Amino acid sequence: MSIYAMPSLGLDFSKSLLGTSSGFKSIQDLTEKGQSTQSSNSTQLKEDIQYSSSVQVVLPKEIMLSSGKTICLQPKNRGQYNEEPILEKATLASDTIQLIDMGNLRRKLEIEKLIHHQEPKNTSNRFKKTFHGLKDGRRVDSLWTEKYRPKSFFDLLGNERTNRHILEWLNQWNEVVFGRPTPDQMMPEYLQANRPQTASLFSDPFHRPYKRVLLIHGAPGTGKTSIAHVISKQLGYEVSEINASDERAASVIREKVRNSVQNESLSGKPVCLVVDEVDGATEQGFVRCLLDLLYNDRRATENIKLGDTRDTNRGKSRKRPSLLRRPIIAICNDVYAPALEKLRPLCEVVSFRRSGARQIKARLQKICEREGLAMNEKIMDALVMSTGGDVRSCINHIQFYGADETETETEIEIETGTGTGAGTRSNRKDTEVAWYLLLGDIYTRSANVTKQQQLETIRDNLSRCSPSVLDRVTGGCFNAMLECDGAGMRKLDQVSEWLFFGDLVSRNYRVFDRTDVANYGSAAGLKFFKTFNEVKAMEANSRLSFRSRDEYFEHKKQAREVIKRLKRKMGLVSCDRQHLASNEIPLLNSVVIPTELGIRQFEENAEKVAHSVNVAESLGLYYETTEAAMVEGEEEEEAGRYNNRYGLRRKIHRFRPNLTLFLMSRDTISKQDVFIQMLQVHETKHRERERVAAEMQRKRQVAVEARDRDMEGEPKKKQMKHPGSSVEYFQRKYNRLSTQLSHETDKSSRKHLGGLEMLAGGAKIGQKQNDEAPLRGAMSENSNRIWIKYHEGFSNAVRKDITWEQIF
Amino acid sequence: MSLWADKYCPRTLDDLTYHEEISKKLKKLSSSGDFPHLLVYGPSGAGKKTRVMVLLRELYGSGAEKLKVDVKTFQTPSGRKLEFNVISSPYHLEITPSDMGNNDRIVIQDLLKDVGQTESIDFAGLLHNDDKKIVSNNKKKFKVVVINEAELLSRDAQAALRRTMEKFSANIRLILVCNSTSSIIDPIKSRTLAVRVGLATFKETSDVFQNILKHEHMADSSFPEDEVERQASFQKVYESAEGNLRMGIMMLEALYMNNEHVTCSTAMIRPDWQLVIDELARGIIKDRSVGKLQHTRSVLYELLAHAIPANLILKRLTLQLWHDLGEFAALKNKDETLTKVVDAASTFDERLSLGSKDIFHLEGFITRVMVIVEEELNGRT
Repeated sequence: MSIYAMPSLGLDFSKSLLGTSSGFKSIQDLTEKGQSTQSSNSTQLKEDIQYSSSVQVVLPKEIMLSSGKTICLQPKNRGQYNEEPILEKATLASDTIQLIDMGNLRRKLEIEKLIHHQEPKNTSNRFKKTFHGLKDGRRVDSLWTEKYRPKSFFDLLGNERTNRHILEWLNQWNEVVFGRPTPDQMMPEYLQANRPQTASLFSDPFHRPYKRVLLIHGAPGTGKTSIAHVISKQLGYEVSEINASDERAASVIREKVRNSVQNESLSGKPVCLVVDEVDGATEQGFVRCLLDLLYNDRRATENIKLGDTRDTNRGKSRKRPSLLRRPIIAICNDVYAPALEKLRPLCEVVSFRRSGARQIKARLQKICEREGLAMNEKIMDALVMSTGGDVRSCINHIQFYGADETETETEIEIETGTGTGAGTRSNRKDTEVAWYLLLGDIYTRSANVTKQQQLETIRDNLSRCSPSVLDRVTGGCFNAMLECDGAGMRKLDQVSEWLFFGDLVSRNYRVFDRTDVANYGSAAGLKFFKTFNEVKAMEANSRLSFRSRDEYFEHKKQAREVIKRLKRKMGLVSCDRQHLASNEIPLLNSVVIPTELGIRQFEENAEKVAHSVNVAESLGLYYETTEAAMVEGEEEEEAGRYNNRYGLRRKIHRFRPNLTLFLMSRDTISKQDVFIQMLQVHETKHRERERVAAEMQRKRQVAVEARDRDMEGEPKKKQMKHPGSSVEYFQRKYNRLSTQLSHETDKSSRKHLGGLEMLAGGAKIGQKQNDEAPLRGAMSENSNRIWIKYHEGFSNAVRKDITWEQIF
Repeated sequence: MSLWADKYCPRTLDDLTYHEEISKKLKKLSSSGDFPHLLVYGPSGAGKKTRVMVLLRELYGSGAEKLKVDVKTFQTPSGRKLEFNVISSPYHLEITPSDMGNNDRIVIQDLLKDVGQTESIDFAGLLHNDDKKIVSNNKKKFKVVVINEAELLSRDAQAALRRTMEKFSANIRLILVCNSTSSIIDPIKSRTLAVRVGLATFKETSDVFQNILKHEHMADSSFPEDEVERQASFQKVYESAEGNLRMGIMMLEALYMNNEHVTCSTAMIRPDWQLVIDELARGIIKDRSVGKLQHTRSVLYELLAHAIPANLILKRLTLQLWHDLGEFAALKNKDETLTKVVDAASTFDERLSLGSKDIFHLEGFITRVMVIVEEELNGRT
């Protein structure tokens, strides 16, 4: 017990604490008094600190307590722990613009810092006291994972950018839910100018996010559910959760979704639907239901955009699609699950990464403090590493160790004792921790045992591992072998035989259920030990990375997905998969996007452009524009989203399904971008043209019908013919003009026509037409070329008579 | 309008331009109205699938071309649900069981049993009176199941197929399509009529090209006028597509799209993974060190991530090494080295097919090659 009790230090600490937060002084005294009555330990620094940090709440209770019996104090104590986070929430949730009492925050921060400073020196000291203190009073009666679930936005671990992105998304619902302006509208003018054009294309009358469902995915235990809950609560929503443990029949879910999305909750707060574990849902039931909801919403939105004239006329028919008025957040582990295939394109997909090891450790540290557990750095490291950043499982581990006193004590002995590798391995029989440690053992020679002895311990450990762990060990050996100092070509060559053996064994085990071969699984690891284990490796404690390269797997998954989709298209169905990936798709790429040809040349050759667009269409490829700051694959795209601080985001033009996945040189990928952008323009133009043609056809029919109907309408017929010619005129005109400008006119003329068709019978239109058409002609022939785009969608703005004089 | 390869795919037996004798036999087969189980094999791009589709059309009329894609779900004994794509017309089903990996047996059993146990009632005669052929020989009570990539069927699945083929032969006809028969078990070979579809010769290929260009006027003008030169450029396409007709047509299309004028000196379009591998091979010979291995590892990962099959990487790499080593001046006895490299390649190819971790073995191969070359240069150490 050499480090037990360092009184002078403790005193220092309390002094400095009092010094920094003089405002707390009286309270501190009070609490100390209260405590001294019931416990002889007046130097429980940690408890003090906690009291003072949450002092506003504690104060009245403390007084009440001191009037009562001392025994009552413990339950109150517990309540106080729970109270604190709520308090934080209250201050934060009250204003979504996030005005925080900075003074308060800073004080808290200072206290925290102090704790942190003092922590390592007297952990074990405090541990002894507090732990026993806990034992008699407070029981562990709730799961720590629940207890320490983040309560406010600032409690959240993980990628700040992702968090903010989710917050932003949810904020966009402000208008439709609360009637507050959305962040977009609050954006200053100069930033708004930089907003991508596409945004206006898909603009929504309620400024809701374009993709109505947020899909969060990521590994288990990274806090996906927590963030959904926290953020929606913070923005004033009531969370309604549906998850895998609930009933998932379609009818039940439909009911539930409708309830939560369309009705008000009892608390009067709007509901935010959080759908947990969607990837487990069957396509028929749940996903179907969500899709219906989204399609309905889309139709409803379009109706609103178009002025919604017809629907009101038809009365309250049951078929009327309903608008989605509440945000939906879906959560899953695997976005590429087949069940989600249809849903995915309709969702704003956010990938949730593991938080950094340091962050997790800091959080664990905090929990340990709260619970009065001592946890040394090394164990925490191992814990984080072995769980692979799964915070939930880390906390579970801590709770498990915390409950068993003896276990924890041995840990502490380890800490104070000999340390190094032997200690951490000692009597933790948790295999999951072991795979990482085992690898360390294989590669680093421990100094105080002979090689033979070490070999034997490793063999023992390996033989006790489950096959999946052995698999990991073999993989880890492979991942690290090149970085090892002792690696030479010949050694590596030898080892590859054993890698093969290990692979063979594990495959036999996994695929053919041959349990009898499992015994040999450890051979590869032992071989590695024999070959690479050298004393030298140890002192150069450069961390070997045993990690496999996740990003490649991610990429592979995506590539598979794309192939699957392409295969479903009729044209390519005949090929086998491997052939498709290796030969067909690269060629297809160069057919659809001929990067060899200069962009100029390509653009001039209308025939080729048309061909490319047609091929793409027949294969079901469509062009997509996403925003990103970087060009590196989908992964960085997400991360890079916020790299650009001033809202200037680069646009990326891609195919969907993404064919660039199969390209290897960056050069062509970047070239493709330009091409696709161009093609996209062409494609929309092409579509427009077709649509115009179709409209004209229909309009003519209407005109003919109209003529047949009322014979006296001789002048009317003339009027009807007139717009047709004007359209033709515009079409000719726009072919001559540069793409963008022509795009604009075309659109407006189309709108115009649409209006005509809608109200074909009305004489009003004819009148307007007469006013307008010649004027327009004159305008466009004007050398100054003023283009006028009037209010899109013929809502009220168009339906009433407007003359050009009014516009000017 | 779609890809040329699809657009100009033959639709009837008469449209088929080469392998006259096969076409003739197929015609006879279809006119008899019944046929045994078929095993169609041959290299990819030879026209196996085309012939199968044409045959189906011949048998059932145009209805066989109304394809749709269904997703069927199967349940494994362990309770896992599997989803599986089935392409079907009213008269036939097309499946690729190897999509399911090791679960293909279940698919084969369930699906075939399903189809086999339902006797099809033929309304075709009533509905399409215009299709005289169908009315006349109204015997086809069976459905055709086309199994793609049959060589990738696991042994279990093939064994399961064996019994099914006989038991439900009244209601099902199977057409197995595969690249080689080597991994098809004998019992299945004996139950099927094997039809080999070989690659088209250059003459035949160039006729096909010519025919396509005749229809694509714009493209026609961008290829050389002169007949000899044109043939020379076709020759190049033919060679770089390795006789694969579908690839050839796509390459032709790609050439047209990418070049103003195609001449016989125009560079062929090669997928960039091939370039990456070529680069890799050069690097291996030049620099034989652990540091280089470090680099090759990430290249290999990248290749695998682009869904390039591992054995294809190995093959290409070996060929390229063969080529590069042949020109490597410092090497004394080339023949021996080359033998060793090929030996290593075959060893690791076996490992690739037995094991499941591709990266281990690919890197193992590269290490081995480096060791071999090093030994040759510096003597055995």
